[in-house]
Amino acid sequence: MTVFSPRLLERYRELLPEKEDFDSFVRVSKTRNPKTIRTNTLKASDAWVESRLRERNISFEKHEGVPHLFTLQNLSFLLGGMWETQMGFWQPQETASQLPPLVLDALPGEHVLDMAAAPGNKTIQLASGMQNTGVLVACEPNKERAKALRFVLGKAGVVNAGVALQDSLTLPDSLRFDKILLDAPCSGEGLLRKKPQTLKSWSEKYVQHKAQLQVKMALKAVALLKEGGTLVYSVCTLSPEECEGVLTTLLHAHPAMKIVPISMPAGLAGRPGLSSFRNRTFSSGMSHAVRLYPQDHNTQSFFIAKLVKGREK
Amino acid sequence: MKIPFCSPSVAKRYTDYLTSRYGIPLSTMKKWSWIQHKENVFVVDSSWVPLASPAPSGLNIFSLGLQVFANGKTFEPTSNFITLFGEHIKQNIVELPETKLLSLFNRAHVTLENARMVRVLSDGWVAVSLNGKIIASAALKGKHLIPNLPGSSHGSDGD
Repeated sequence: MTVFSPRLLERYRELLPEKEDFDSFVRVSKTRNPKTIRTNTLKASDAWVESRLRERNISFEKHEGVPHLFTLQNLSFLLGGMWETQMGFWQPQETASQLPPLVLDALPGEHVLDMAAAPGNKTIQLASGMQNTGVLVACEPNKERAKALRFVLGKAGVVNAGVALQDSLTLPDSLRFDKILLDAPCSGEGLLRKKPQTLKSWSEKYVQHKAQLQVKMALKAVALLKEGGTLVYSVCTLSPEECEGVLTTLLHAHPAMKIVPISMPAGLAGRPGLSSFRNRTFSSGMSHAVRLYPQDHNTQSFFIAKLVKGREK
Repeated sequence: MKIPFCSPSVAKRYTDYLTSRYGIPLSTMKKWSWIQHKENVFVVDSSWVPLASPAPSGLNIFSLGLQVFANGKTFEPTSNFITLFGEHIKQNIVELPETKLLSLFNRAHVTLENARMVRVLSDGWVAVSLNGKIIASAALKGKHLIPNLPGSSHGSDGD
């Protein structure tokens, strides 16, 4: 059962001042995420996935805007137990979590970095966009999680990725990437529909701690990004400190970085980033960032921004 | 860190095998570089070669590319590879009905009753298909199929 801490509720009352909106947030947050899968286009087509779902008598709806995304409606067994999942023909993956690779739009032959890659579904999406070519570096500092990441990438048939067993902060500064995904470790408020226990570790101190780490990672991302390259920053939380706050610090440190508009898929418009929260005013351009609240599109909470690196002065 | 990329002659041994056993065209494999670590054989997109030979100091590569053979001497292929290149596999295919396929996924040896053999040249490693789509790898031994599937799942329920 989801029980919000009073301080967290207080925050969301500030973020969602209209009572109806706030009540809707709380109500939807107490429900589970819809079951969704993404076709692994390295191995299968949407038509094949549709035929398998029909064969298994699973009702489904194909998302109007997110490619290869299916919402499953009458699932009576575990997705992980199905051979289609086990053999990597599709991946269970939440709707909002499919956005960062979609927004980054990694292309064949590019050099791409996934700074916090485990468990690996976004890495697979990146490899799919790259048509299994180019260089894809997937960082994971924990050995057991790196093994799991290797397993998941193998199952999906990813040929162009290397798993780097290290904190992405320790990557050599000589590396340069065309595109970087920083789906940063966060306080995880957005996961509460999936893991209500997430809230047990929530505190404002924990949010601050994560924000400090995120700033370090974002600064490292800029150092590793080619001029003209693209960085997508995302977190599965809506804490302003971890969203607009991190980007504001980044933009102050690197004026050459610019937040650019995101072309969101149909059915997932989201809301613009905040211009301020409590006593902090955020950098201009935050309106190009996107906040996804669970009550808007029946997703987990999510924040995403796309930045382009201009010429450093 | 030095990545053990294969010499062109060793790589040719592997591509020749895949062409002769499964009919995979050489052209689909020419953009890969081959890596051998002990008995395990991997392929990676050749774009990695300038970056990884040798990898810059400070880049700690834990794994690279996709495992093709679990054993390079016996050419034991991985299901991960076979299913990725399914559309290019033209021979040594055993088409199973779904009930038999489920038994195979339960790691049982299955008999070939109701199976359809597609240009099966000899016993040995074969691709297993369902309604024409390559789904897994197995070993054909007489009238039995022995599953050759990935190890225990470390997959997530989605991130």
